[in-house]
Amino acid sequence: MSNYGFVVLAFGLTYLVLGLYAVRLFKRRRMLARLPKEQGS
Amino acid sequence: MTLPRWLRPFGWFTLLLFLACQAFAVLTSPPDRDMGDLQKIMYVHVPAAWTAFLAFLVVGFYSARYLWWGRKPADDLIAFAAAEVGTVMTALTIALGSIWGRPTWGVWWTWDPRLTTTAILLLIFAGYLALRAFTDDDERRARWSAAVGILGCLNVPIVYMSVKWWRTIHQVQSTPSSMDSAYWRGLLLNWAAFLAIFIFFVAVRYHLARMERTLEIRAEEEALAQGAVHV
Repeated sequence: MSNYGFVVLAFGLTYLVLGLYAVRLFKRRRMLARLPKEQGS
Repeated sequence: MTLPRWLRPFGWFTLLLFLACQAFAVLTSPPDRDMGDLQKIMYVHVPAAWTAFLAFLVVGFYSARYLWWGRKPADDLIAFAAAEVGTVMTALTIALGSIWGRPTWGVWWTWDPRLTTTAILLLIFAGYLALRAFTDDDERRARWSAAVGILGCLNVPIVYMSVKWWRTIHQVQSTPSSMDSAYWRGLLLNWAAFLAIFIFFVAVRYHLARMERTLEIRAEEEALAQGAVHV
């Protein structure tokens, strides 16, 4: 792999990890926000 | 139970700041004399590492506050939020360092003091998160994880100083005097962007942890009330 390939891999991995963590947090928020409604409170 | 209203605009601001800082650093810094374009990995690897260090210092501070100043649940939850974000940042730092190491050192991984101490830091905080996941009692979970959090925080200066204390192939810390301003500017800007990401993630995770705690308490109260009815 060329140096350029390693740079693309590093930046791509950074965006992927940060993006996946953000998605995980917001999925959890959505799930938690739904729970009290189902319990009728 | 919702997230604070400031978090949404702050999240968009953080995203735009991050993209702008990344573009600025990548587009304006010339290829390094020795490393060429590989130097650009510095704009994600170093800010991720600094953010991880900051996260674990926050964990240490709030864990100590929890243990010795009032046992406030909020302190425990802030420490937890920072630990989770710090663990993600440490894993990212190691992965990015590995991607940098392969073309620079010729290996993906080596048992170098900096790399090894960083891996130990990651293991401590992975253990911290596992401990929290497997402990049901609120008070015990907070107390035990605060102790592990302080232990992990004590490892941060060891990781930081490892390149000076031991013989290592990892380079020593760069300073404005050892680095051209074309690189230093981009690094500082990206550190600011990672700092904003850190604040955003910790704030969201903290509020989610509060929601989870409220639901836990409510479930316990309901279970107790049902038990009382049956008795």
